[in-house]
Amino acid sequence: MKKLCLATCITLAAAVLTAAPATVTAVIKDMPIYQPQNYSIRKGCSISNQHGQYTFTLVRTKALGKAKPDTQLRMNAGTWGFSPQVRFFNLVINGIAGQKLVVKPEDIKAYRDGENAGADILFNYDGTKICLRFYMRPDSPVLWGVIMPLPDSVEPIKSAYLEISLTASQLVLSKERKAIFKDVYSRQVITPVRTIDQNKNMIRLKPEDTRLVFQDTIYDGSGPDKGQGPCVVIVDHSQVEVANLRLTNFYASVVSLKLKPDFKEFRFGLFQQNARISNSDFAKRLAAEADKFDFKK
Amino acid sequence: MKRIKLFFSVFLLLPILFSSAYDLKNRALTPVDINEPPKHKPVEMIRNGNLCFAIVYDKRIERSVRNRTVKSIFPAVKALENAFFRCTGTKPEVFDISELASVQKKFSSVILVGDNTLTRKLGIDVRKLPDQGFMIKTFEGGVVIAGSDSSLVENYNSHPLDFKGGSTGTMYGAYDFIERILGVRFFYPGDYGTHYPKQKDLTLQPMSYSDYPRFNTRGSLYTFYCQVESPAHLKKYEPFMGKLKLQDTSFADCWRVGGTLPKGGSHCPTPQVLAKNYPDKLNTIFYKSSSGVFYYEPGAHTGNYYNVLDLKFADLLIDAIREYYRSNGKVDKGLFAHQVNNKFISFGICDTYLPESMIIHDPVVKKLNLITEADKQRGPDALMANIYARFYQYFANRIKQEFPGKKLFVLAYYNSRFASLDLRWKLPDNVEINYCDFRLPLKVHNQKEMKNVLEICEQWYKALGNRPILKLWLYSSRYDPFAKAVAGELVGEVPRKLGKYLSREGCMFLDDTGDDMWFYYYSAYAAHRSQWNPEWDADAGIDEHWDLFYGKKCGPVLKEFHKLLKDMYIQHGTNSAESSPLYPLETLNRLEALLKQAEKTLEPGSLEMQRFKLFAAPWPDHFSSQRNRINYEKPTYNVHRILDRERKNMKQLWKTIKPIPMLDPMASSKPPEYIPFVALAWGTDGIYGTFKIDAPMLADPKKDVWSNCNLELFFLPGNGEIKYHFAFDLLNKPYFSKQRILPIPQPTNTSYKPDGFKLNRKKTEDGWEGDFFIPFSAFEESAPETYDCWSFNVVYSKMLKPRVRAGSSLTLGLNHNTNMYGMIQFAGKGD
Repeated sequence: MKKLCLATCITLAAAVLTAAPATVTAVIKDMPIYQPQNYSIRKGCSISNQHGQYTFTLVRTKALGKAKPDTQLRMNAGTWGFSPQVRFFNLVINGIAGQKLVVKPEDIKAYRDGENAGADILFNYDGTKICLRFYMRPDSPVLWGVIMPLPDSVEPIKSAYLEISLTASQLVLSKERKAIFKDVYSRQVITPVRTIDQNKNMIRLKPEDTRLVFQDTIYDGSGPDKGQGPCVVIVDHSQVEVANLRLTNFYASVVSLKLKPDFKEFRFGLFQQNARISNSDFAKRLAAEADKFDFKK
Repeated sequence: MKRIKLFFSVFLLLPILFSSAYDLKNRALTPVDINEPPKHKPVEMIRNGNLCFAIVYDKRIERSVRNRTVKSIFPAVKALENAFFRCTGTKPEVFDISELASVQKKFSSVILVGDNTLTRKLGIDVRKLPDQGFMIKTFEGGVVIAGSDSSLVENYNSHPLDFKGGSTGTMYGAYDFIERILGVRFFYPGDYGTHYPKQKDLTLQPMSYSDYPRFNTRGSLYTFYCQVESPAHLKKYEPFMGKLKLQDTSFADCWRVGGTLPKGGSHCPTPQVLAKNYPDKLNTIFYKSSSGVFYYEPGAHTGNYYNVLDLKFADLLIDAIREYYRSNGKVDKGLFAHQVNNKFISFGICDTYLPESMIIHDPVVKKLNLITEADKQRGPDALMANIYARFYQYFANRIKQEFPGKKLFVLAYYNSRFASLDLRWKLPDNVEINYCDFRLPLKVHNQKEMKNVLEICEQWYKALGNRPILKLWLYSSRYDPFAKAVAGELVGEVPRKLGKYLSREGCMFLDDTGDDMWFYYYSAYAAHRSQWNPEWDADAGIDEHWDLFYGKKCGPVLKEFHKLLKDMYIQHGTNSAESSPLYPLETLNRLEALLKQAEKTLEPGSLEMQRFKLFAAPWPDHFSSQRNRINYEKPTYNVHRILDRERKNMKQLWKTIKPIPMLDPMASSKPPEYIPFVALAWGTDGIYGTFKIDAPMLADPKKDVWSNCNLELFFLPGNGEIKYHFAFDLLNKPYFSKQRILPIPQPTNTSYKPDGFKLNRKKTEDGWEGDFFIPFSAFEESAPETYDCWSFNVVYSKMLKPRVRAGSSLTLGLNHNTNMYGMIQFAGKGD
C-alpha cells in the first residue's frame, strides 16, 4: 500500500512538473543605454522564456552637432552576435532605409498570442506601413520575427530588402584593446545542406539554406579567449526572391534578402546564446533540438 | 617739563583734532595732480553737523557771455548744494560774489565756485587750465573749485556748424570735490544709487590739486537716454532704483560724460538721403560689380555699398559738402548733420559686407593691382584696404583744397578696418581714424587677439604718418552677460596696451548698447572712470564700494562674488571664440550660492537690501540660461508631407499640423511673451509655410524689414554647406540672402533672389498672418528625399518696444549661429 501511494505521488509530481506551462514574458519600457542624453527615444522590449532572453531597443539619436537624427533597432542578447556593434536589422522599403524613419515611443506595442509573447513595432515608410513583430515561443530559445505590411498603407510595396548583420562569436581585440575588423577571422556558415566557408565573393543562398549557423573556426567558442560561439539566422525562403550571404574575412557577416514585393508575411528567426558554447557543442544541441529551431507548423 | 609734554601732546593730537576722513590719494578714485599746498590755517567746513560755510559764485558770469554751450558753474553749485544737504541734512546758503565780504563775516569759510574776481586773485586762471580740467585749492577761509568752462568763452560754438561739446571743468571739479572730500559715491541714478556718508565734522587741510580728462570725449548721453527712454523702462528700473525721470540723462554729469571735440568718424553720409538728392547719380554713389550686382538698397541702411572705386563719388561728396557749408547746414544732401562740421568731414561705410567675388574682378582693382596676395594674407577684412586708402587719399586731398583746415574723419570698421601698406596710397596729414574693434576691451587678456589688434593699430599709425588713432570704439558684450558685467573694468587696460597708437586727444568710447546698463552699474562705473583716466585703479575702485554700498556683512560676500565672476570671465571667456561661451557649472553654482548667502546677511527693507535687489536681479536668469544651454537638445521638427487630397484645402490642413515649438533664443527659462504660430509642410515642389502672430506690431512703411516686426527663416539644406535666409515683415518686399559656410565661410550674397518664392501676408485684428511657399528650385541643392534632414531656424522679432524675440533654436541672439540650429525632417506620407 505504501509503495503504491509513493509511486502515485511520484507519477503525479512528474506529470505536474512536465506539464508545467513554460511562459514567455515581454516587458516594454525605456531601456538603459550608454549616454542616454544623446537619445530622444530608447524604447525597447525584453522578451524571455526559460531558454533564453532577448532585449531589443528602438532608438532615435538626437540631432547632435552636425549629426542628423538616426533611427536604429538594437539588440542585446549577450556578447557579440546581434549586439550594437552591428546594425543588426535594416529593412529598406521602396528605397527608404529604416534609419531615416520618424518614430515615436508609442510605435512599440505589446504582442501576445496564446503562449507566444513579444512586441510589435510599427514603421511608416512614406505611406507604406509595416509591422515588425518579435516574439518568443515557450518551447524555443529563438527570437522569432515576422514582417507584415499593414492594410492601412497608402502606398504599396514596390521593393523590400532586409539585411541582418551579426558578429559571429567575436570581434577580435588587439593587446591594446583596439578592434581588429578584418583579416583575422575564419567565418563559416553551416546550413542543413552545406557548409559555406568564408569567401570574398557574395554567396547566393538556396531555398534549402533555411537555417544558417554562423560560427568561426578559429574563435570556435571552445575557451574563454575563443569567443562566444555560434549564432543562427532562420529564413523562410517562401517570401524571398533573392538571398545573399556576405561572409568575408571581416568581423560582421550579413544576410541580404530581397523579399517578394507582394509578400504578406515574411518569417525569420534569430538565435544567440548568452553563455559561451563551442561550435561542436552547439552542433550537438542543434541536432537534439532541431524542432526548436524551426518554424512551428 | 610738563609744558613741553603738553605741547608735544597737542602737537601730536593736532592732526587727529583737525583730521578728516578724506585722502587726496584715495586709490578708489582717479589719481589727481597734487600741487604744493598753500600755507594757511585749516578750513573748517562742518562742525558738529552744522555748516560753517556758504557757497559763493559769480551768478552773472555764465549769463553774460554770448555763446552756445552748456553751463558749468551753475550745475556745479547745484551739485554741491545737493551733496552737502544729503550728507548733513542742511542745504548750504548760496551767494553772489558781490556779497563775498558780508558772507565772510557771517561764515567761517566759503566754497568759491568757478571763475570770479577772487578766483583770479588766488592765482587761478581758468583759461590756462587744460581743456575740461579743474583746480581745487584751499585758501585762508575757504576753498576754490574752478575749471576750464566753455560757458565763459565768448562766441563759443557761435557758428552753426561748430558742434563742439562743452568744457565743464568747474562742474567736474565740483563732482571730484564731492567724491574725494565728502566721500560721496555715485553709482546709479534714483533714490538708492548714491552713497552719501554722514558728515558731522569736516575740516580741510591746506591742499591744492588739479585734474583733467585723459580722453577728450568720454561716454555718450545716448547710453543714459536708452535706460530711461520710455515709461516701460521706468517701470523696469524703478522698483529697484527708486524714482526716475523719463529721458533724464543728468546722472551722466556725475560720471563726467562729455567732450569738446565735435562728433565725427561715424557712418556718413546716409545712403537713402544721398540717393534721393542725386537720383541720376546712383551708379556713381553705389557700387556695381563687374557681374552686374548693384549694391543699392533704397529704404535701408544695410545692403548699400558706396562706390569707393570711382573717385567721382568723392567729387560728388565734395559738391554736396560745399553746399552744406555754404548754407551753414541748411542744404544737407547727405544727412551729414553733426558728422560734417567745422572740424571734421566724416566718411563711414554702411553695415554691408562686400564679398571678394564681387570686387576681385573689378577692372580698376585689376588695373591698379589693388588687391594683392599680401592683402589676402592679412585676412578677409583687409582686401579693401588699398581700395579705401586710394579713395581716402583722393578725398582728403580734395578736402585740403576745398575746405582747408578741415579733416577727413574716417570710420575704420568692418571691411574698411585695415590700413593700406601700399605706399602709393599714402594718406595726407588731414586724415583721422575712428578704429572699431569688437575684440576690445573684452579680449584684452587674449594674447593672440591683442597681437593682431596691435598689428592693425601699428599699421594705422604708420599709414597716418606716425600719428595715432584719434578715436577708438570699444564694445561691451551684447550676448554674454558675464562679460558685460566686467567689460568696464577692462577699459583702462586698452590705452596701456595701445600706447602711442591711441591719441589722448580724441575719444575712447565703450559701446554698451542695450537698456540694461544699470543692472551692471559697477561695470559702467568702471568704464566711465577709466575713460577719464585709464590709470585709475579699477580693482580698488570697485572693491571700495562693496562695504560702502552693501554694509560690512554683505559687502565681503558680494566682493567674493564679483572676484569669482571676473576671474571666471578672464579664464574662460577671454579665450573663447564664442560670443556667449558656456561657463563651468561648478562656478555658476558657487556664484549662485554666494548671492543667496549675501541676501541672508541683509535686513529686509533696509537700504542695503534695496540695493542688493538691483545687483542680484539679472543673475537667476543668466544662471538658468547657462544651465538651459548645457541641457539644450537641438529640436527636430517633422515637416508634414502634403498628400494630394490635402492640397485642395490647405487652410484645413494647417489646422491639423503642429506648429514649430518656440523658445527664448537667449536660453532663459521663461517662454517669450509672444509666441508666433509657424508651421511647415512639404510637397515634391517645395516647402509650404503658414504663420500667425498675435502681438502688438510695428509696421512702418518708412522703416525697413529689420526695423519692423519680422519673421526670419534659415535653411541649411543637405550637408549644410549653404545657409539660405528669408526675412519679411508686413509691408516691405522680403529680404533674401545666401551664404556658403562650408568648406570655408564666404561673405553673404544679398543679391540672391529665389525664383518662385511666394508670400501672402495681411494684418489681423491681433497682429498679422500669412503663408509662404519656397520652391526647391530656389536652393542649389537637390530637393530632399523623404526623411531627409535640413538644419533650420526660425526667428520672430517683435520690434515694437518692449522688444521680444522667439525662435526655434537656442541661438543666443545670434540668428546666424548655425551650430545651434535645430533640424527639420521631411516626414513621409502618413507620418
